[in-house]
Amino acid sequence: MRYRYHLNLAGLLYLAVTLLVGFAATVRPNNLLVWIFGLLLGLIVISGLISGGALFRISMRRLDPMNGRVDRPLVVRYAIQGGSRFIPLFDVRIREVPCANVEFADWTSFAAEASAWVLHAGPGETVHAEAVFVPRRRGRMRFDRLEARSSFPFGLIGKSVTIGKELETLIFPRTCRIREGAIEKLLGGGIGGGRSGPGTGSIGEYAGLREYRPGDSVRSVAWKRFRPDHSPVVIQRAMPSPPRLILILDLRRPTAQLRLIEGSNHREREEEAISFVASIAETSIRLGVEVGLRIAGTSMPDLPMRGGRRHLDRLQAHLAAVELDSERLDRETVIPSPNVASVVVIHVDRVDPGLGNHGAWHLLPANLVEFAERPMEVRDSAAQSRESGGSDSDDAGAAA
Amino acid sequence: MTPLFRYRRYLRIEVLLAVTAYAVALQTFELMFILGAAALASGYVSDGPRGRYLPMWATTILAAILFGWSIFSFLENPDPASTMALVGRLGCCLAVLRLFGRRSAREDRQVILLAVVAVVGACLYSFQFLFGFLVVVFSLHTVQVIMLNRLQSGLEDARADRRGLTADLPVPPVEGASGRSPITQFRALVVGCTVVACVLATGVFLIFPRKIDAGGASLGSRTGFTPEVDLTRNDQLEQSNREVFTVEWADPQGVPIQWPQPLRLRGAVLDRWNEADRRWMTSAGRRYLRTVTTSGDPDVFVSLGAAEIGRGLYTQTVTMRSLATSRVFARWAPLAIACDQPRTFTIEPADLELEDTITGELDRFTTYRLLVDPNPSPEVIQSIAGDAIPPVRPPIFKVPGVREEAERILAENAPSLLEPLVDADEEGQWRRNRQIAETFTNYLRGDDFRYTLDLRRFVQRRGVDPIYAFLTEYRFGHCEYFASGLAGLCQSLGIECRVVTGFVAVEYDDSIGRYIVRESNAHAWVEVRTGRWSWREFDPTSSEILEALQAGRRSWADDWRWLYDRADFLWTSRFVTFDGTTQATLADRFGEFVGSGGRGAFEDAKSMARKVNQYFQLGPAGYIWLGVVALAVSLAVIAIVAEVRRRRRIREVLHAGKDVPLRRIREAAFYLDLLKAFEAAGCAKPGSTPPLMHLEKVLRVRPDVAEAARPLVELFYEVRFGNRRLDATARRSVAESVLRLRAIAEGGL
Repeated sequence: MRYRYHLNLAGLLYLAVTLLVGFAATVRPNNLLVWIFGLLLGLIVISGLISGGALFRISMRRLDPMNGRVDRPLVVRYAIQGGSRFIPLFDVRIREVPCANVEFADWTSFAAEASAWVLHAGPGETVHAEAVFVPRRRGRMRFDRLEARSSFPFGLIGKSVTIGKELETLIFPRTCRIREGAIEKLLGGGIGGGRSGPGTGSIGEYAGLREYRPGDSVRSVAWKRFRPDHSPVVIQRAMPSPPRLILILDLRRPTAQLRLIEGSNHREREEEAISFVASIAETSIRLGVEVGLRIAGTSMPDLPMRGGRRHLDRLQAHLAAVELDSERLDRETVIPSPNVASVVVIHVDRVDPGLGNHGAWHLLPANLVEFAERPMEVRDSAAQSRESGGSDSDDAGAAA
Repeated sequence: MTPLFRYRRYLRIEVLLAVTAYAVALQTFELMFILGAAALASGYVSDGPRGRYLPMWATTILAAILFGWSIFSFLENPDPASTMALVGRLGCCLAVLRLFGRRSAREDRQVILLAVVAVVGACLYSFQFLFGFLVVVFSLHTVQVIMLNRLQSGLEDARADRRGLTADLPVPPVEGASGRSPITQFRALVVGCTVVACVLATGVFLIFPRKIDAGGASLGSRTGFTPEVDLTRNDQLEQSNREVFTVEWADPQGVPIQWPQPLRLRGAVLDRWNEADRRWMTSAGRRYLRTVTTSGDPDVFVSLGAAEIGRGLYTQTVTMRSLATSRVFARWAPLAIACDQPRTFTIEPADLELEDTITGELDRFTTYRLLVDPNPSPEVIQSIAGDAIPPVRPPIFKVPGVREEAERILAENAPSLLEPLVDADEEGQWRRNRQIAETFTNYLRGDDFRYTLDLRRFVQRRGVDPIYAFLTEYRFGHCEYFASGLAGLCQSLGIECRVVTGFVAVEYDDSIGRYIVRESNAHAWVEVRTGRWSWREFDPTSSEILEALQAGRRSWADDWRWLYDRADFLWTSRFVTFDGTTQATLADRFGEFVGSGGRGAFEDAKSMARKVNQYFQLGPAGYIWLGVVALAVSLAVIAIVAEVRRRRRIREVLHAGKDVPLRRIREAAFYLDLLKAFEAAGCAKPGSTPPLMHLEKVLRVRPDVAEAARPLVELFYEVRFGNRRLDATARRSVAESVLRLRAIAEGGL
C-alpha cells in the first residue's frame, strides 16, 4: 500500500490567492482580512487532513468480472471499505494503474482507461463501485494495481493510495450473428429433425418396431404386436440427436509467413479468422448444434462437440486464450468422418484442402460478410479495426 | 437522495451572500436589489424545471459590456483606492451572469471564485459589524459549497468518462456508489470542517503579526470620530446614524437634565497645522502626561489633578454602544474620573485630553463617569495643568494668503479690531482676541459659506492650501473645514487657538434621560485662548445645521439601532480593534495562565461572577444564587448527556433504527437494565444470542437470576415484537422488578 499526496493546479491557484490575501492583510491593517487569511490557511490544512484521513487504511478489492468480450462493456466492480473510524469517504475515484512490468501486456493494451466513482462510504462501511471498460482486442487482460484517489473536500491537495491486486480475465473474441441459413448450409442436412439412434430409450417419438433382443426392457415390449413367429417385438423410439459441427481454425502458418497481399495486416486477419470461428460457434450453439473445436498449429487441446451455454463459454475462452505470438506447431489434426459431424475449416490466408475431409467447408475471414446477418456492421467494424491498425489496404482473401 | 440535491440552491445563496456583503460594505443597495433579484430569478429561469439558459454568445457579450463598464468607471475616477471596489462589483455582476448560463462544475467554481473576489475586495472598504457577520456567514457557507462542488465535479467527470465509451451494447450509466445516510454524514463533515477551519482561522488571527496600537483601521467614507483632522480627502461622506454611546448629564444633585446648549464632548485636541501633510496635529508632544488609575467601582472618582474636588460639579456618565476607542470624551473641564473597570488613564494637563492606556486589557471600557465643571475657574485649571500650559506665545501659521484674508474680513466686519492696541493690559489683549474670534465665527456662519458632506467638487490642487482654498475659493465643506478655517484665521493673526474633535450631543431622549450620540454627531470646533488659564469654545458650524441634518436622516429603523449597536460594539471592541497591544496582553495572560497552572482562569471566573453579580445587583447573596444556578445547569447538562447516551445505547441494543418511535424505545428501555443485571450476575449476554436462549444458559448457571428474569424477558418480547404498550404504572412496576433482579444478581437477596 502506497500513500502519495498530489498538489494540483487548483491547489496552486488557491495558494496564490491565499498569499495575496495574506499580503493584503499585512499591508492593510484589516482584521477581517486577517481572519479570512487564517480561514484560507485552515482550509489547506483540513484538505490535507480529510483526504489523507479518509483514505488511510482504505480497503479495496476487485471483484472478478469472469470474462469480457471485444467491443462490449466489461463492468469491473470494486468493493471499497473506508479504514477511518470517524471520517467518511466522499468523492473517491478508483482506477487501474498500468502494470510497471513492461513484459506483460496489461489492460492498457486492451481498453482505454476507466474509473469507478464512489460518492460516499461511511466509516467502516463497504460499498461497491463499478468501472466500465470496453476491450478492443481479444486475449488475457491483466490488471495489476488499484489506485484510490480523492481531493475531497476542497480539491486543493489530492491523496492517492495504491494497492497491488493482480487479476487476469479473458476477453472473448468479437462475434457477430451468423445467418441461420448459412449455418444450415454448413451442416448440410439442416438443423431441424432428429436422427434415430441405435438405442432404445424410454422417451422420444415413436420410430418403429423391431425384434426383441435379450436385455431389452420389459416396458419397451409391444404387447399387442408379434412377429409372424410369435416372438415379441419392442417399440423403438427416436433419441434426440442434434446436428454436429466441427470447427477447425487453421493457424499452422506463422503470422509473418501468411500469404496475403502486400500491405495487409496479418495479425488482424488472424484475429478476424478467430472472430469468424467464434461467431459460427455462438450462432450454431444458440441454434442447438453441438460444436467442437480444433485449433491447428497450436498446442491447445481439442474441444469435443457439445452444446449449451457453458460449452459456448468454454469454447470462447479457448479462442480467447489463443496466443498468436507463440510458436506454431506442425501437428496433425484429427478430422472426424463426414457422417459424424460437418466440418468447417477457417483459414487465415489461403484455402488448404489438405486440412479436413472431402466434405469439409473451407472458409476465409472475408466470407464473414456473406455469412453475417448484418453485413454492414461487419464491414464497419472491419474498417474501424483497419483504421485503428493503421492499414488502409483491402485484402479480400480467397473465396471458399 | 445524495448531498447534491440542493447544490444549485446553495450556489445561488453563495452568490446572494456575496452580493449582499458587497452592497453592505460599499453602501450600494441598488446594486444589491438588482443583482439579488436577478440571482433569485435564475433559480426559476435556469435552474428551474424548464431550464432556459443564456446562449454562450450572449453571455460573452454581456460579460464584455460589464468589463467595459468597469474600465470606464475606473478611467472616470482613476483612484487606486477604488480599484478593488470596481473589481468586486465586476465579480458580483459576472457571478450573477454566470448563474443564467449553462454550466458545469468547472463554471460553478468560477462563480465561487468571483463571489470570493467580490467579498475579499469589499473587506478593504468596511469594518462594520453587519458586513463582518455577512463575511463570516459567507465564508462558512463557502466551505459547504466548495465541498458540494467537489462532489458535483466527481460526478460529472465519471459521467464524461462513460460518455466517451462506444460499444456494441449500451454502456450502463454512472451510479455513484453510496453507503448509508450520505446526507447526514456529509452535513456532519461540513460542520466538522467548518468548526476546525474557524478554530484555525481564529488561531491565525490571534498570532498574526500586527502593529502596536493600530486600533483598527479607519476605513470607509463615513461620518464618525477620528482623532485627527485630515483635509486631503475630497469624497462624499455618508451620514451614519450608528449610536456610538449615550451620555447622562446630571446636575450637582444627581438629577439627569438636558443642557441648554449642545453638549460638546472633547476627544482630541490639535493645535498645529502641518502644511505638508495638510492635517492638524498636536505640537506640544506628551511631555506632561500624567496617569490616574480607577478602582473599577463606577462610584469611586479619581482626581485628574485638581487639588480638591468641590461640590457643584456635574456628572457625565458615558455608556459605550458601538464605539470601541481608547479616547475619553469629556465636557470641558473634567476634574475626576471613575470607570466600571480598573483602568489606567493618561491625561494631558495642557489641554485636558484623556485617553485609556489599554495596557493589560483585551477589550475597551464600556462605562465611565466624569465630574465636570462647565465653567471652571482659572484656579481650578491652574491646579490641574500646573506647568503644563506653555507661556503665552504667538502660534506659527505660515499659510500664504490666510493672514491677508483675515485682515480683509476684519476690515470689512470690524475695522476697529485691526487697529493696534495702545497701552493695553493683558486682559484687554484677551478680550480683543475673543472679539476677533467672534467676528471670524460670525463671518463663517454667514451666507457666503455652505455646510455640505459632499466634497467631490473640492479639488485638491498642488501648492494651494486647502484652508486657503476653503476661505477664498470654495467656501463649502463640513465641520472640519469650518473649524480649520477659523483656527487658521485666528492663528494667522497670532491668536492662540486649537482645533478640537469629538462629538456634539444634541439628541436628548426624555424617556431614558440620556443623550443619544451617533456617528453623525462627530464634530470639530475651535477653542481660543481667552486668558492665561482659560479657553473658550467657538463653533463656526451652526448647531442648527447639525440638528437639521440629523433630523432629516432619522428613520424608524434608528429606534432599533440600540439592539444592533450592542453587537456592533462587541464586534468593534473585540475584533476590529484587536491590535498588537491586545495581542501582547493576550500572550501575557496565556503565559500567566500556563505559569500559574490555571490560577488565572480561576481569577477570571471570580471576576466574571463578580460582574454578573453586580449586573443583577443581588449583593453578597448573589454568589450563593450564582453557585446554585451553576450547579443546576451542570446537573442538567450531565442529565441530558446521560439520557442521550442511554437512548443511543438502547437503540443499538435493540437494533432499532430512526424509524422506531421514541415512546417504543422508552417502553423497552428496561431491557438495557436487564442486560446489566445479567452482566452483574456473571453471565453477560452475547450480542448474537436471543434473550430466551440466553435465559436457558443462565438457568444452568444462576437459576435464581433466570427465574427472576424470565417474566421480564417474556415482557420484552411482547413489547418489542408483540406491539404491547406499557403505561406509566406498568413501567414503574417493571423498573421495580429490574431492581429486584439486580439485587438478586449481585447476591443481595
